[in-house]
Amino acid sequence: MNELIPIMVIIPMTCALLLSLFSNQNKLIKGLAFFVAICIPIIPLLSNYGLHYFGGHAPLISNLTGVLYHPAVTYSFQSLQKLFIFLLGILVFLVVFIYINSYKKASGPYLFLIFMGTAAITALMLSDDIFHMFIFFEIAALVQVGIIAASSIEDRYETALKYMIMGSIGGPMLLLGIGILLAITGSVNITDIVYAINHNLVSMNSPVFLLACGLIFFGWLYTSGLPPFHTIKSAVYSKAEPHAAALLQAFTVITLVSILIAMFRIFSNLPIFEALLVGFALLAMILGISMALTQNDFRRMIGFLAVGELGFIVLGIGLNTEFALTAGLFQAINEMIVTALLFIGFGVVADLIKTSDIRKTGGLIAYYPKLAIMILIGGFSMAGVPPLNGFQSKLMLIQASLSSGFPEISIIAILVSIATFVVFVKVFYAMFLKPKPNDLVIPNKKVPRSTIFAMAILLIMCIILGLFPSIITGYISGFVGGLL
Amino acid sequence: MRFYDKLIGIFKSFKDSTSNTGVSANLTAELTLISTLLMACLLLRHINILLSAVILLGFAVVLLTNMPLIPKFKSEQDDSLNKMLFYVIITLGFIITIMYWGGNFV
Repeated sequence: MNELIPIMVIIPMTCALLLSLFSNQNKLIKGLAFFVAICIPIIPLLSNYGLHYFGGHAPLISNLTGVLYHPAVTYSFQSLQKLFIFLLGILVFLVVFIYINSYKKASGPYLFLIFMGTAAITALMLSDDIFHMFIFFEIAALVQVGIIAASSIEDRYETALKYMIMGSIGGPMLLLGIGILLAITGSVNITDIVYAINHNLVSMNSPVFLLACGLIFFGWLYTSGLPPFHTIKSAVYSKAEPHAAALLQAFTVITLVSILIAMFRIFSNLPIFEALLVGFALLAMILGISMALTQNDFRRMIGFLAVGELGFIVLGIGLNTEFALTAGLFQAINEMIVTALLFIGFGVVADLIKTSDIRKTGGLIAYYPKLAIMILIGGFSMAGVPPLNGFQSKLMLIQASLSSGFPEISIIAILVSIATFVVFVKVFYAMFLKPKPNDLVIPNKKVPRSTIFAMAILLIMCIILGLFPSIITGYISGFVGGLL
Repeated sequence: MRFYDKLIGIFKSFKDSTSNTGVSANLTAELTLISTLLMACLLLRHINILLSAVILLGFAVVLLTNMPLIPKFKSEQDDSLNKMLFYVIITLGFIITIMYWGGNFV
């Protein structure tokens, strides 16, 4: 059923508008949000692979040149899109489930932001049109600002404003790059652009083409939160509500992957493109872990770790072999799951004890043992401890870099994984194991069941993907085979 | 400056890390930073082995003589908008320069 392809975007978007419209009717918006949150992961499972042309404008063949071109905005739904949109749907369901169970009165505008962000990110993943991608990225960026501003954490407005200011540099550069690409190829459809490049209709040595590549690359750094935008991105995560932070990092990972795949298709013949990818991947890994180790705020610590983990994804793509690409995309899936688990887990602790400073915490294992164990396993997964999912993807990445002739990258990846483990030892000891400080007040409140449920689902996914990685890698390698 | 004063200066630079876990984490960060950056320099051997050796040695000297790096490093990456904007503009300049003049030579 190819008709379901645009429905994946239309349903959350319509739901967002309805939630905003009926924001005064608490029961209605809770019911609607819950129902649509269940539907979102189901639709990609029911849909067939294929293409959707908006307005019914199928590709045309030029009478003059015999070249096929796409006049319509095109959505492409393949195995990778299925995987990411399904996983995003699961996360949206868990986030909405936590939200509507945590608050007696749900906020229509807040749920609007969650569903509009979901629609924008889904469109970004599906689109084969680079300008369309930019528009939906901008919508997603505004949604992220709204979600931060709607949280109850101190300094949220300042962080939201800073993110917008950064966006005022990154966004226009991305648009300028897309504009230059349109000017030299005559199309914003990625398939058409790739055709023009592969058939020498555009010179890859042209300084204008290289400039377009540089500008789009810079814009992508902003969209992904890679250095030099890692500081603001980690601040964004730490200022959102726990469930929202879990969703925001999923938005970031999907944005990174979708724009990176588009760039890879267009620019992968440029030798410098892969070198830049590997360079920024290593920088993200090194800066992310170094900054995470020095933090005293555990939410910020996870924020920096999340940014550092993005480096592993980019590394896989930058190595440009089938195995490395599969490993990088598998790492993206794992990061979405593990980081969501950790943001929810650490966030709920911060909500309960009203502090996220590890110097003021301690002895929490006696009060929240289930939570402690789930956070510990999540941390092990992120650090790459076997037999969890993080281990599988990191092992694949290390093997890929060794077989590509870059043993240095393997060593760096191992060092970063060890340092990630140290971060978790530090934070777990400081929060749960060391003696409880006298001035720390533990409220007589239990961890909400909805939060435990969401964390348990994510944890089960970590374990299953760790034991049976082929469930995911089969889908990914099918897509990668077509990409190369 | 005497060695003792240098040592005291180093201790004072770790303002927020007077606990065991804090100091251990900062030391880990310091070692991770140095080792990973030096390892990354080795990647330049794919361009030129001599260039890699020269940069590696130069970088090692700079890193080791400027220890502790983490306090300086942390202050450069705080939430100050000015610092963020500075590094954003520097990166934009770097990418465009590399792309424009070095586009096809790696």
